[in-house]
Formats: sequence, structure tokens, C-alpha cells
Amino acid sequence: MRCEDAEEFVSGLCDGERIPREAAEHIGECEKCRTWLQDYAMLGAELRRTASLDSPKNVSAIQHLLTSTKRAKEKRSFEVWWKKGAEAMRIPRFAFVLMLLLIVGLSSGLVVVRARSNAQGPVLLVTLKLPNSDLSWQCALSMNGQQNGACSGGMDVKKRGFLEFGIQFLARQGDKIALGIRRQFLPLSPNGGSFTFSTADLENLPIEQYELEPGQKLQIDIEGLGKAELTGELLDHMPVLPLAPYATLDPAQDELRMISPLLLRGREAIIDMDHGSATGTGKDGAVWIHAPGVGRLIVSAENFPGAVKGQVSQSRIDFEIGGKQYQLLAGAPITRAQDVWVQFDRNFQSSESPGGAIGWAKLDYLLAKQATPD
Amino acid sequence: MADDRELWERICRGDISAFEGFYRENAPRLQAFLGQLLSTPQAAEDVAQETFLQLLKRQNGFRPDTSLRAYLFGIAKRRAAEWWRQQDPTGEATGEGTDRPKAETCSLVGDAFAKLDADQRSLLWLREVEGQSYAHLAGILGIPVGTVRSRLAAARRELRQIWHDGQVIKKESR
Repeated sequence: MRCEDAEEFVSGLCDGERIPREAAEHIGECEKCRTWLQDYAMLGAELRRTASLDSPKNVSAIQHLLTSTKRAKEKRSFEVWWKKGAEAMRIPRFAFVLMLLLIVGLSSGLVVVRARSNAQGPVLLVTLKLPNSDLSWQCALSMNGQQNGACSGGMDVKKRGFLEFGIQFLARQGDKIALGIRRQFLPLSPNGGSFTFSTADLENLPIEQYELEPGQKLQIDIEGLGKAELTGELLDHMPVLPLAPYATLDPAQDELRMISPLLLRGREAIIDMDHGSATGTGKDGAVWIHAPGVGRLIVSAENFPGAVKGQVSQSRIDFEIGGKQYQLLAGAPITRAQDVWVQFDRNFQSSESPGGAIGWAKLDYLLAKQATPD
Repeated sequence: MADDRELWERICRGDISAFEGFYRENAPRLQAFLGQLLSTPQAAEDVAQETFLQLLKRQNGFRPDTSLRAYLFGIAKRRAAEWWRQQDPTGEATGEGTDRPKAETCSLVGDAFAKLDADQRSLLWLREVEGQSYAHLAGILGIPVGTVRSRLAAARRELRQIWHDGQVIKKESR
């Protein structure tokens, strides 16, 4: 056998192939073929070594992403709805990974800033319109691979039940945007009752992928509720998120609303709930903010044990605890009331929301709990 | 294959966790593979993204007699070729390659590898780095197994030659 004829078998040996006896004998005796064999083996090994040099960087990016995601899967709950967006996460442009919490926009509230549209914008403003209802839910998803790529929330569908909804940006290709959606409708029992929303529950739901084209309507079938309509609009920036589309700056009667609140003690900022907002309507409700290591703040229009009076001025509440002056600043008017009642529990601890959380809940429910409701 | 079929069925049902696992395992490898075929890391990232999207869209494309990874890399190979066509619609540029190294730097295997044509690069990479079998390579590249065998031998010969010439040139230039 000639070396030229054996060459293909030399290559085959490198791949673990069995070769004909004649070729095996030739390669065993031929120095030239044996050199080829050694060179091929060396070149292959060197290629794999070179490839391995790139691997850690790529893998670590993914691992970082997953680590961030695990951190993000913290449990938190409260009635009606919530919004949270304080944790920084890195999401590569092509991130098929779950990420809950972060910004949420919900059912009743206001538009603080109407965002500009931009056909090439990196932000997708999605609006979910519920069937047979004037309720809608809105949320802005960043598609730039940074933070705020997912949001979730619960919505009280009056007299019918409670909707849990989560949406996340998956990928973008041209005009089409892949979204992962989780949803569950919990119908109201004949005896009434209340619902508690938990992102942990939402995470246990199957996620389905949808393809949305901005400007087009996408129907989302929600078992027990009907077909909801999802639309998307591209924006050139992350909007100050509307709590609901087409509302006003003026809080509704008995509404308590907190948008991106910042709590100052003297001149020191002790809680910064940037991108986190909550609202609810009803005198028996309260907005709560939990900042790990700092404490829990409860703000209610009703007086309650352990609370001090706070003076409301548009988007600001001034109060005093233990001789120290506090200011709670929000991104929009908080309530129509002139006074509210505030409790700041510095000893409050909860492992359920290590990244901090904000929500609205019934006051008696909050006070009955020594920890953030879950 | 049975595992791949089950995984594929879960992905088709919209099981994101199944897709996550598949993505986590394969995305870096796919991007590394595409990095050998395309001109920039950004292009490799873009095409990797398109590849995964196409995988999800064409759910009838996967045949259970091959592996899911082979199917993925097959899509990537075609998307890479398409990417090059988009860069040069006239088809004149045969580019399909990264910047060619100068001869005096050709002693590194990586440099020699970069001088192979795109088909040889993808074939060798899939075999040597990804460990794809001949049968899977045949599926990915759409050629008979026998052709895989002969093309692999040719690619190795070419790589060795370029690498060897580079060594000689470098020695002479000292």
C-alpha cells in the first residue's frame, strides 16, 4: 500500500475508526505515515486546547446569568399587585433564562411619562388587555441585555377572581420578539375571600413562548378568563412606568400609591426602591417597603398601633420617629389625604426578600405578620 | 438518541427549563464554533442567536436518528453560510474566513487552522473539538459518510501542511 492510499486511514485512526488490516500493517511499518499520525493527533489536541481557552469566558457568562437568576427567584407576596425592580442583573442579548421580579406595571394608576416610540428601541412596552373588562396591565421590558428583562404581577379582576401573570423577554429577531409567558387565573369562590400573590407560585407554572410583533395584536388564552390581548410598542428608553395606561397623576379616592420611593433619614438615604412601585385602593390597605438590614416601612391612610402621623405634600411624606426626621419621596403624588400613618420597624427581618420588596396589602394582614407576607 | 428525542419533545411543548439546559450546554460551544467561521465575535453571537431561534421555529426539522446537538450545529453551519452571502450578495467574496495571518506568525496551530477554507474549518472543528461522529457530521453537512471520511483526511493534510510550512518559514526568518 502506498502512503497516499493509507492517508485516509491515518485520519480515520485519529477518529477511533477501525481500518483494514493492510492499511494497519503499512502504517505500523511506515515512518512517514506514523509521523502523519502523530502530527494529526497533536494538531487535534492543540485545536481542542485552543478551543478550551475560550470556553471559561463563555461558560462563566452563562453561569453568571444563571446565578443571577437564582438570586432573583426570591419569594414575595402581597395582595392586589406589586412592582419591584431593584436588583441588578446581567442578561446577555440572547438569554433564554428565567428571571422574575424586576419592573412591573399594573392595573390601576397613572401614566407619569408617556414614552416615545422608536422603531429600533431597546425597550418593549407590553400591554395586556383583559377580556370583557377595561382592565389592562402594562410593563416595560428591556431588551438590551442588562436588567429589567422580565416582570410579573397579580391583578384583581373585580368580582371574577385574580390573575397572576409573568412575562419575560427571550430574544429578538428583526421585527419579531420572543416572549416567555406564565399566567394563571384563580376564580373567586362563591363565598368570596381574598387572594395572595406570590412570585414563587408563578415560577411553578409552565412557561410558554410567544412571538410578538410590535404594533400587532397577540391573543393569550387565559383559562377561566378568556382571550387576553397583548400588544407591544418599542421605546427608546425605559419609561417611568405607568401603573396603568391612560390614567392621570391624580391619585384616586382612597388610593395609596408609591412610585420609586426613596426614604431619607435626615440627609441620609436609607431605602432606595428605584423602579419599585405599588398601589392599592381602600382605607384598610397600606403600602409596605422592606429593605433588608434597614427595616420595614408601612404607610397607611388609617391610624394603627405603633404608627406616627406623617404629613403628605404631593409626592412627599414627612414624619418623625425617635427624634429623627424622615422624608419619604416618591415619583408621583402619593395620596389625596393630607395625613398618613407611618410605622418604621427597624427590627423587622425576613429572609423572603433578600433584595428588598415593595407592595400593597391589607393593613390587618400586615400587622398580623411579623415578617413579610408570603 | 432517546434522551434527545425526549428533550426535543419537551422543548417543543414549550418547556423553557428544558430549553434552558440545552442552551446552557450548547450556546458557548456553538458560539465558539461560529467564531471559527465568521469574521467577528459579534457576528458569531448574532448567528448563534439566529440558530437557536431557527431551532425553535422549525420544530419539524429534527430527525430522531441524529443528535440534537448535531442538528443545532447543522443549522449553525447553514446560517453562517447565509451570513457570508448577506455580507456579499454578489457571491464574489469567498471570505468565509477570519483575517488571514501572515506567514511569519503561522507557527501556531490556531493560525494554521484559520487559513483553511470554511468547509474544512467547520468539519475539523466539529470532529476534533465537538467530537461529532461521522454519521452526525454527514447529517450536519449533508454529505455521505464516506465523503466525511475523505474530507476529514484532506482537511488534516491541509492543516498539517500549512502548519508545517509556517514552521519552516518561521525558522528561516530567524
